[in-house]
Order: sequence, then C-alpha cells, then structure tokens
Amino acid sequence: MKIERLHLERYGAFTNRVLEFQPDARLHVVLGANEAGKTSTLQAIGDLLFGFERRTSYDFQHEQKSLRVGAQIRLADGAVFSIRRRKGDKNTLLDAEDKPLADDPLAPLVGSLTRETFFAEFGLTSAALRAGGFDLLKAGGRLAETLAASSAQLSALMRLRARLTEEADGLFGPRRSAGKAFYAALDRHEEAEKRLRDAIVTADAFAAAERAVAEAEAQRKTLDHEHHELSRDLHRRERARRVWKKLDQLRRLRGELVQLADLPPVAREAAKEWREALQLRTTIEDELARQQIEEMDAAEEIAALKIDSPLVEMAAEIDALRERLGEIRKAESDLPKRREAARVAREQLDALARRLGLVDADALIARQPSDATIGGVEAAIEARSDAEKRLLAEQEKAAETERRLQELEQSRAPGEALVDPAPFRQRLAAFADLPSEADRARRDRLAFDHAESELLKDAQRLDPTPGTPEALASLALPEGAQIEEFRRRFEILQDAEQRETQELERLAISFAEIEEELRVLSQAGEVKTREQLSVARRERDAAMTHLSQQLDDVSARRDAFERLETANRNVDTITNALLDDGARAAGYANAIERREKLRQERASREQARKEGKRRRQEASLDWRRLWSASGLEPRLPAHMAQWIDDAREILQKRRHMQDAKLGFAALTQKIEENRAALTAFVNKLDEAIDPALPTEALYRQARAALERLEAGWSAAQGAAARIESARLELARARRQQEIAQSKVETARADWPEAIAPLGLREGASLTEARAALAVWRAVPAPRLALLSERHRVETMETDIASFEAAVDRLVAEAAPDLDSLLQRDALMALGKRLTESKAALTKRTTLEEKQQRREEARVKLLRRGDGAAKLLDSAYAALGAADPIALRARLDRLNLRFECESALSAAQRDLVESGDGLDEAALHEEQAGFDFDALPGEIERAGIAVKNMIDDIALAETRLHEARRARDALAKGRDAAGAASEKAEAAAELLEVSRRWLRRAAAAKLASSAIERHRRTTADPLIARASDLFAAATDGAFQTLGVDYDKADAPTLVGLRENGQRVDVEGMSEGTRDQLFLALRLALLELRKAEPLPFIGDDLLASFDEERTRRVLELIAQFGRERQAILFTHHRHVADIAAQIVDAKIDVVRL
Amino acid sequence: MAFTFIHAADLHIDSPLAGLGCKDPLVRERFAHAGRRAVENLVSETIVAKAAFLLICGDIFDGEWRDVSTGHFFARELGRLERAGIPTFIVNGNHDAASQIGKSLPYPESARVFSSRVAQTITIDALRVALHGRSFGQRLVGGNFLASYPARREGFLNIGLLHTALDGSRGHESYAPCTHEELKRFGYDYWALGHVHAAEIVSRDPYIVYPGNIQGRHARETGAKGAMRVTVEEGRIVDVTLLALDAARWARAPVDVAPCRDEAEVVTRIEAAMRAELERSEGRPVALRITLQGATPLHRRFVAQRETLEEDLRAIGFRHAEDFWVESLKIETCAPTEKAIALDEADALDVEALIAGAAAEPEFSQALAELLASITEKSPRELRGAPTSEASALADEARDLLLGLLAGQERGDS
Repeated sequence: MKIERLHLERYGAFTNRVLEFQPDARLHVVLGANEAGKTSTLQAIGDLLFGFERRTSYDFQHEQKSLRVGAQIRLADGAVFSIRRRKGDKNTLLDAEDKPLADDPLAPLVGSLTRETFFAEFGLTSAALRAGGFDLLKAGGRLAETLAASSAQLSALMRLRARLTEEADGLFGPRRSAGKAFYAALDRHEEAEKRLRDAIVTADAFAAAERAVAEAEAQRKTLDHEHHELSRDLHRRERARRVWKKLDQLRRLRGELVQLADLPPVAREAAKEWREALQLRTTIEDELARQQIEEMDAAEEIAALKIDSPLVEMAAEIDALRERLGEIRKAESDLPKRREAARVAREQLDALARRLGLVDADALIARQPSDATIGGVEAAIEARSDAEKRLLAEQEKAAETERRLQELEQSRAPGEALVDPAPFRQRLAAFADLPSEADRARRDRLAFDHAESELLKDAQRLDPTPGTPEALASLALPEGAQIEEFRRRFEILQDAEQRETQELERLAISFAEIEEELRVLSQAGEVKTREQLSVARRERDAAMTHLSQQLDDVSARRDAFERLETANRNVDTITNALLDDGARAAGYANAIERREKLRQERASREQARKEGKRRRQEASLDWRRLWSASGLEPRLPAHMAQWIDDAREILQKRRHMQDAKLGFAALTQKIEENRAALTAFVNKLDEAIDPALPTEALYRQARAALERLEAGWSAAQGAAARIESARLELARARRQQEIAQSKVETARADWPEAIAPLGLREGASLTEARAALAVWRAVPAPRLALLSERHRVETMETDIASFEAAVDRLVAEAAPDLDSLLQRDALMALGKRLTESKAALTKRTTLEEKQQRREEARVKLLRRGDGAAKLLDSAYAALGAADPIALRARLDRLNLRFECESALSAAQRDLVESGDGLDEAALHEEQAGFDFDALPGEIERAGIAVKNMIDDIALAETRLHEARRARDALAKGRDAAGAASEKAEAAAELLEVSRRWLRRAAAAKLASSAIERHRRTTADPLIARASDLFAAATDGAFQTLGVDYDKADAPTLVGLRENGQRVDVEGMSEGTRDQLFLALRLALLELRKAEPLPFIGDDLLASFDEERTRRVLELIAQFGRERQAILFTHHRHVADIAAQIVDAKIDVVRL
Repeated sequence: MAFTFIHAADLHIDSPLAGLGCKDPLVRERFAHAGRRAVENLVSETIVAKAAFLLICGDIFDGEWRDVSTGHFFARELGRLERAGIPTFIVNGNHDAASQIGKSLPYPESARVFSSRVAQTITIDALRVALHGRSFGQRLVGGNFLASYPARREGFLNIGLLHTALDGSRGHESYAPCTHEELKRFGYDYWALGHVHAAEIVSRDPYIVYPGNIQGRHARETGAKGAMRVTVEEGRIVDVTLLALDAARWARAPVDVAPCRDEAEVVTRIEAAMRAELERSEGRPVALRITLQGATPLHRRFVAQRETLEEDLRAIGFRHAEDFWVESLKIETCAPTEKAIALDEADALDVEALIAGAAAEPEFSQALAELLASITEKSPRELRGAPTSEASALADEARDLLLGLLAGQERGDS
C-alpha cells in the first residue's frame, strides 16, 4: 500500500493540514525544521492505521473527540480508497460524512501487526533501528532463530523447544547422573535384578541341600543300629549282674520253709487275732490297777476344800459397789478444783460490773443487753467511722490527680514535626531476606570449601586410594554386579575353608582327647586284654592235655605238672588283672578303635582343604584381572563392594557440588544488587554509612534507623493520650469527694439513738462508744462459767454420801468383823474373801466329774477282757498249747513261716521286674553264659562305648536337623516371584521414563528442525537480500554478508570485505553497523508476503557523512521501487543529496 | 452317573507379571503374588466343587524360571488335592520341557504325569473314563506327535490331553501343530488342550477346549482367567463352563471419544468404562489399559496432556477401589481431516505445515534414530526392544505433541 495523501484534519498543532505524496516517487523526503511536527506526523500515520491510543498527547489544541486524521491509500493492485480516523473505542473509521464505516478496509493490510511492531519494523527512528538491530543479533548470537523471531509462532515454538529440552534433560542424558529420572530408575532396576538373582533357589542348590539331608540321615541310621547292638549287649550283662544275688536268695528261702513244715496250716488273719487277744488281755489288767489308785487320791482332795456360802450369795451386790469405787474416788479429787473455778468467775464479773459503774456481778447479769442490740450499735459505729475515712481519702486523691495533670502539661514539649515511619517500613520490608541471603551465601562458601576438602579426604581415605576425586572420575571401574559376583564367589570359598578348618580343629581336639585317654589308661602299667586271657587259657588247656598224656611217666609227670601250674598262675594273673582293671581295659580298647576312625576322617578333610585353597588362588587371579583396567590393586571383594559404593557416592557428591556452585554465584550477584539499593535507602534516612560494613550490619543499621524513627513517633502519640486521660480522672475524683461528704452528714444525725442501749450520754464520742461496747462483749464468758461450776459441785457431794451408806449396810450383814475399817477398805476385804470361796467351789465340781468318767471306763475295760478270753481259748486248742508261754512260742514260729512265704513271693516278683519279664529258668540259662567276676569290667567297657555312641548320635542329629532346615528353607523359597515382580515394576518405570524422554526429546528435535527449516527457507533469502542491500549501502566496502559459527556452533553474522576479511558486527564502525541494521530491516520487510506497508524513517541518517547519506538514500530509493519509502528529516542537505540521485524520482515534501 | 472334572492349563507359576508402573505397595503386592493365588484358587475350587479329577494340560512352569521353590509350591498344592482324595493328571508342555525345576519334584502319588516317550492311556474304571495323553519331552516335538495317540476306548468317556497350538492361527508359536479334523478323527469325547492363553471352546462335537491360562500376565491377557469345569452325566458331557480363578485382572477399555465435545465428556465416558470393568472384576485388583479412539479435534490436546490425564485417571481409579489401577493411557485418536482453515493473517506462518515438513525430512528420522540409540544404549539389555518397536509412531507423536502444546500455549494452559 502507499499513502497518497495524508490529511491532518485536527491533530496536534495541525489543523486541516494535507501532505501529498507523489504516487510515482521512489522516495518521499519530508523536510521540516525542528518542532515542525515530524514526530506528530509519524504518530498520526500510526494512529490512522491502528487507531488512537487511549491516552493521546496530541489533544493539546483540539478536543479529544474532535481529533481526526485521514488518508487516501492506494493498494498494490491499484485500488484506491479514502478513510478517516477519529479517537474512540469502536467504530472509529469514518467516511467523508463522519459516518462510521461498515467494513474495516485496513484490517487485511495490517493483519497481525500491532502498533508496537509497526514502529519497530516500519516506522523507525535511528535509535529504534539500532536497538532492533542489536535485538536481531543478540540472544547468544543465534542469528537464525533471532531473525525468525519476527514470527510469534516461531517464538512460541522456540520457547516450547526450550521447555521440552529442559524437561527431557531432567529425565535422561547420555552422562549418568543421579538427578536424572532414568538413572534413578535404572538403579532400581539393577537393584531388583540383584535381589532376584539372590532370591532364586537353583536346582543345583536344592539338590545339594537334599544330598546333605540324605547323607546326614544315612549317618544317623548307621549310628542308631550300632547303638542298638551295643545297648542290647550291655543290657544283658547288667541284667545278669542284677539277678545273680536274687536267684541265690530264692534258693535260701525255699530251704527255710522246709524247716517250718511241722506247724499246722493256720490262716494269717487267725494268727494275728490270737496274738492281739493275748496282748489285749495284758493291757486291760494293767489299766484296771492304775484306775484304783487314782480314785483314792481324788476322795482325799475333795475332803480338804473350804467354802463360805452366804458370802457367795451376796456376790452381785459387792461387785456393783466395787465398780462404783473408781467414780467416787475421782469425784473426791475433783471437788476442790470445781469450787475454785466458780470463785474465779465471780471475781471477773464483779470487776466488769465496776467498769460499767454497776454494783456487782448479779446487777451486771440482770442488765446484759441482747447480741442483736450489740450488733446494731457496732454497725452504727462502723458506718460513721467509714464515712469519715472515705471523705478524707477522696480529698487526697483529687489533689494528687490535679498535681499530676499539671506535671504532664508542663512536660509536653512544644509541638515538633515528626515523620510518619510507615512508608519507610514498607520499603525496608523489601530487603527482609537480604541478611539471611548474605548469611546463606557466607555459609554456602564455607560449606563448599569444607565439602571440597572433605571430598578430597574421602577420596584419599578410599583404600586403595585413587588420589583426587577428579582422578577417581577418570578411572575405568568394574560394574557393581561383577564385584558382587566375586564377593559371593569368595564368600562361598571362604565358608567352605572355614568349615573344613573347623572340622579339622574338632578332629584335632578329639584326637588329642583320645591320646590323653590312652596315656592315662597306660600309666598304671600294661593293660591286660581279653585276647591275652584267651591265649593264656589256651596255653593252660594245652598244659592240662600234656599232663594227662604224661600221667604214666613220673618224671615227665612232674614237668608237665609244673607247666600246668605256671599256666594256671598265668591265667589267674590275667583274670585278676582283668577283674581289678576291667574298666581300664574296656576304655583302652574303645579308645584305640575311635582313634583309627578319626585318622581316616582327618585325611579326607585335609584333601578337601587343599582343593579349596587352589580354587581360592584361582579366584584371586580373576579378581586382580578384573581391576587391572583401573590400575588399582584391589582388596577383598567384600571390601571393594563397599569401596565402589563409597567411590560412587564421592562421584555423585562431586557432581552435586558443581551444580550447587552455579546457584551460589547467582545468589552472590543478587546480594550485591540488593546491597546497592539498601545503601540508597539508608542514605535517605540521613544515616552515615560505613561502606566496609557487612551486608547484615547494613541491614541492621537501616532497621535501627527506622526503629528510632518509629520510637519518636509513638512517644509523641503516647503523651497526648496520657494528658487526656489525666483530665478525665480529675473530674471523676471531684465527683467522688462530694458523695463522701453527704454520707458523713447522714451518719452524724443517726448517732444519739444508736448508742442508747449502751447506757451512754447523747454526746458521747466514737471512742467512748467503742470502749463501752468492748466491756459488754467480755461479760458472757465468765457468766456462763460461774453458773455451770455451781451446778457440778452440788451433784458430786450427793454421790459420795449414797456410796458410803451402801457399804456400811453390806458389812453389817456379811462380815461384822470388818466393821472397824473405813468403807473403802472394808469393801476391798469383802471382795478378796468372795474370790477365794468361788475358786474352791469350782475345784470341787471338777473332781466330782472325773470320778464319774473313771467309773464308766472301768465298765468298758471289763467287757473287752471277756471278748479276748474267748478268742484265746480257740488258740490253745488249735496250736495245742497248754499255757500262755507255750502259746506265745508257737505263735512266734508261725510268724516266721509267714515272713518266709512273703519274702519268697516278693523275691519272685522282684526277679520278674529285675529280669525284664524273663522267667526264672531263662534267667538261669542266661547266667550260665557269664563269668560273674568278669561282669563289672565288661559292663564298664560297654557303658563307655554306649556313651560315646550317644555323643556321636547327638552330633549326627544336630547335623541332620541343620541340613533339613536348610533344605526346607530352600523348598519354601525366598519370594523370587516377589523379587521378579519388583524387577518388572522397575522395568516398567524405566520404560515409562524412556518413553517420556523420547517424546520430549523427539518433539524438541522436531522443533529445532522446524526452526532450522524456517531459517533455510526464510532467513537465508533474508541474508542474501540483506547482503545485496548492505553491499550497496557501503558502496562495495563490504561485498556480502556471511554466516560464521562461534565456538558453540551458534551462527553469527559477519560482513565480508573486498579482500576477504571477515568483520563481525562488534568490529564494524557505528555508521557501518547502522547501514547493516538498515539493510537487514529492509530485507525483512521485502520478504513479507502480505500487502507491503510503507517504510517510514525518522531522522535515520543523522550519524552519516554525506557520502554515506547518499548511498543510504540510494538504497532506500531502491527499496522504494516496490514499496513506499518515506524519510523524515530536518537536514536540508539530506533533501539536497536525495535530489541528486539519478534515475529515481524523489519527492520532497515540506512540512 | 454324574460327576465333574476340572480342566486347566498354562499355569506358568511364578512367571512374573508385566510391570504396572505403579508405586502403590498394596496394588503391587496383589499383582506380584496373583499367579500363586490363582493356583491356590484352582486347587481350592477343585476341592470345593468335589471334582472327580483335575487335568493340567502343560506349561505348569515357565521355561526360563529357575527357582525350584516354585516346584515345591506346586507339589504342596497337589498335596492338598491328594488329601482331598482328588487325583491329578498332567501332560508336560513345551515350557515344562525347557524348565529345570519340574525335573524331579516330590509329587504326591495321586498326581500322574503322562510319559513323553509314548502316548499313554490311563483309565479310571469307577467313572468309566479313559485319559489319553503324552508329555513334551523336549521344547519342540515332531510332527508325528499326535499320530502316536491311542485309539478310542469303547464304553468309556474318552478324553485326550494335548499341548498344542492347533493350526497356529491363535497367535501362539506353533507347537505340535494339528487341525480340528485330525482331532475329530480320534473319536474322543473331549480334547483337553493347553498352550493358547485365551480360553476358547473350539468345537462342541467333539469338545475341543482351551481353558486359557490361569492368570493374565500382561495387558494383552485380559478378562477373566481360570479353568474349565466339565460336567458329565451318563457318560456324556453336558456342560463346559469357565471358572474365573485369577487373583488380579488385566483389562483393556477402548473408549470412542469422537462424539465428545470437550474433555469433561471424555472423562465421563472413561469413568463409565472404568465402572464397567470394576464390576466385571468381582472385587479383584484391576490393571486397566485405557485406549482413546476416534477422530477428535482434541487429539493433539490428548497427546500434549497425556501424562496429566493419565495421572488424573489413576486418581479416579483409586477413588473407585483401593486396588483399581490405570495401567496406562494410550492415545489412538486422530485429528479430524481438516478443512483448510483460512488464515486470518495473510503472511502468518503456517507452523503446522512447517513442522510437518520438518518431520518429513530424512534428517529428522536420522535424529530420532540417534535419540533411540542413545537411550537404548543405556537401557538394560532385555528392555532394549520395547522403545524401538514404538519408533515408527514417535515421529507422529512428536508432531502432535508439539502442535498440541503450541495450541495449549495459545489457550494459556500451563
């Protein structure tokens, strides 16, 4: 589009001003002096195209609503239209008659342009050109994008790409980093995989466990069998020894019973009854004799007893009087005290009566007023006293308040102007975080130093140490899984070795024990064995045979006999040794057997240990090989597993620290900026500042200044409030004083009537009334005492008299011989006599009862004696005894027979128990196979063997139990399925992170590609066109523009001189740079596809010399071939130079 | 005489389920041990149903699984059946043949495993039942495998136990291939098959039945899983019903969002699908894969906000049940075929065309391949295939993500 005519109807200083632009001109130079309205005209074009701004500064001459700017516009296709614009919110486009236009003919021309972009791209001042130019080139030198940034969508795309790239970087990157989600998930996956590996129970592991169980079971079974055999043998020998003597006893008892066979058969019960009857009769006879003696003694005792009967009859009366005796004694002792108390009370009352002006106590008691009356008088006294005191207090208070008010008024300083601190407070609040940030920065710096040195220490502490963390980072370290594998391999080997060593140690101990056992056994000389005995017996038998063969030859007979004798002695010696030394021999034989077994076991264990050692060396070699790439000499795998964890931690810390340092730098910069602002603030508070102060101190100083300001302000506010309150208090005190005055007067009027009951005169004072009242209050206590003591004395005297009369009467009746004694002593004597008589009476009754019981017992004894006699008669007949002595002898033999019979059956029972249920014959048969003398030794030997066997069985049982437990644990499993599921979860997470990253990374990549594509299709033509324009503008000093790439591969723009020298933008002179910016700007405008808008420059050429001005004008004129170019200037020479441009029509418009 | 028996296959005990991508320990635990729970359910149901016997047609164990305690678990479960007086008949499948753990397990006497050398017939005279079967001796068996099966036993109910992929058309690797007609020629009454993980009654005359696997293991093994309960009356099969025995359920819900006008309507539709799945699961934990389908102008928005939407749906899932887990959200929608939108700015950049052009450049494909390679290189070996398989969709997804986010920026989405 081209503006053919601009009509400034009412705009700024213009009224109805028309600027005509020649349609065929290539360049319109609008020439106007300063203040002629160049800028107004430029703004008017903006307002025409985009509408007036809400706040316009061009209404200083015309009213806002009358502002009008209009134009005649020709489009590229030749169409022409006119429009006018008014200021307003809507329908601001008008036709010639001021009617709103139905359609907006400008909308398709302007498109998405705004006023701001218009003035940045089309309507330029030299400053805007330069700013725009730098804008194009800055942003990290990313020329392609920056150029493309003229499109809003591409900017959005770039922002999006940045966001996606950032998000993607948080998820994954080629360098391993714990902060990236991918690697965290990868760690979890590796961990889960390791757990799964550990959890799986392999077939081999399980088969090994089963084999171990089977072996342990087999061993256990063998031992059980051996144990069974040994125990059975031991058992038989023990049984034989056990029953040997019992069988003998049976034989003996049977012999004794034969001796007692002459007695008749009698039942045990009958014999027992006869024996008891015999015994009973003897007992009864003894008992009867004893009773007779007791009877005679009792009769003598009864005759000796003395009893006073009349006295016993009066017992109740005497006891009653004795009970009263204590009471009477107390009354006699109390009586004088009571009489003295009555006297004292009377004297007190007399004294009180005198103080009140009365005659004596009785008169006083008669005039005593009631308690209510005394209370009334007291109240009246108190009322009058209170009212007077109150009045005095109120008067003092009023005076005090008045004095304080005067003081406050005097102390108020003459009105000084104070500053309200509120706005300062708000400003200071903006710096609230500064001290903590400064503190944080300091701490961070210390923390970094510390962390760095710690990290170095950590790295050096590693054993083996790689040196610095940096050196560590560069090492090629093996994977954790490999180390883990080696750790397990070493662990298994070590376990095996340890097991073998323990077994060998155990064997060595057992071996030593056996050796010691053998040594101890051999200490007491050579041990005889059963084998030796067998040999000696064979020799003896041979000697015997030899002798029998030589019986016919006398001399040979002698030799043979001697030989037999020797052989016999030898047999005896060995037998004796075996008998004496049975246990030792048994132990010796057993120990030798066990030693042989241990030897075999030891040989096989040693072989296993050697094999273990070999495998361990092999593993060590592999282990070193694994680490050879890192150049480190590895310790044991368990150590190195920890080492690699520690090393990873160090590396991770190192990465974290590098990240944190960046944050620290940002913080430091922020603090510096804030400090500058705070310094300005403190200056405003009129405070002197020490520039060396730390930031916190500076902040504290600012705060202290503010607090001082605030303190002054609040002190002034407080003083005013206190004066006001003092005034109010004074008024209140005066009111209270008046009230007190009126109360005093009322009390004085009521006085005479109130004190009348005290018997005082009308004009008595407060003090007199109080004294009289105090006397009357003292009367009641002594009055009450006097009356009560009088009554008690009378009662006591009556009691004593009645007691003495009763005693006199008793003495007269029961014991006239006591008449001469005092009443109390007589009563005591009577009591004593009564007690004696009562005791005698009781004793007699007891003796009589005993006599009765003895009689009954005698009758019973006689009856029992008759029964026993009958039984004894049948005994004499049955046993053929003539007298008790013969009977007793027969009964004793009978008893002996019973005992033998019992012993026999008990011995038989015992034999059944001891013989384990075998019958007597079987036991005899078994016994025949043993030599009783050798039995203890044999039993001892077998016992030791069984005990050793039991120990072996216990050991085997423990092994079996452990093997089974291990096998069952494996069969139950270690939740491998759970571990597998964990791994699957970790894999899912890893995949999800991968997908998330891929989506973002791919989208970011696509955004980059799109931007790049845009650059290729759009930006490159731009640079080509700008090159031409720039070459023209510099008259060939620069031939073309090129794109260089900086260190970060970012494209940067350079100018190429004729000689091939490349000059970057910073290296160009200011004028050249402006030419470059203009060339870029014009090229950009040319590449717009939409309806071209006019290019308007405002004093663009101010910095150029004539030559350069000419070339730029030529350039703009060249641009003006297709589009409208308008140049505002106040330099006449610009217009002149423009006019010299050949083959281009230049239109100079004067303003 | 009437009785029932249970036909199961493909237990794959302790074969790990696919990861859920779930951090909730409750849900994870329930899925982790679902496989064993399902086997326990099988045994308990068999006992409760007072079944006459149990058939297991192969793949009790997973070929690669090496933990022998799995075998002991199975032996213990068989022990429960023995105590209940129920015999078990087993043919080994290709996985069992490859597995190390099934080799020498202490099975109880009531569990009989068919020989792998020859096909055998075992009769249960009291029920007049003849079982014919043969185990896999190795991972692959020869073509004459089926041919070795014995002839029908007259007067008996004849049941064939066979681990086979049939004609291989069911998407499983072709083991012991054979056809429907070949099976029919044997004259058996019931072919108890194993190997294919989806339950199917292939034929009713004779019955040729896959019970499917007993527990779904990933999002492609959806719906109720279990074993067949077969009812026999007077020597004839009268009913074959699937018993659901799985202890956790995988499900897929395709949701057509074409008619939805906005996201709220989409969420409402998804919630309805979730409720339906929850009801079907009968109290089991559920892992649901939701797939949005249909042409919708919201397509790019879904792509751009997929992760947020997925999180929202998971929260909704937990609102329905403590173990209702949205396994993933798949976006298979497409943008509607657009009528060319007249650009209101004559020279506005056609970003969409620009991005489409960039996406079509071979350099971009190259860049994608590099991205894939860079992350694949760091991934554990066994996971490397997964992202690569999705590579073709990545370019489209990147484009839709960019455009969706751009549109979101204009709308002012965060």
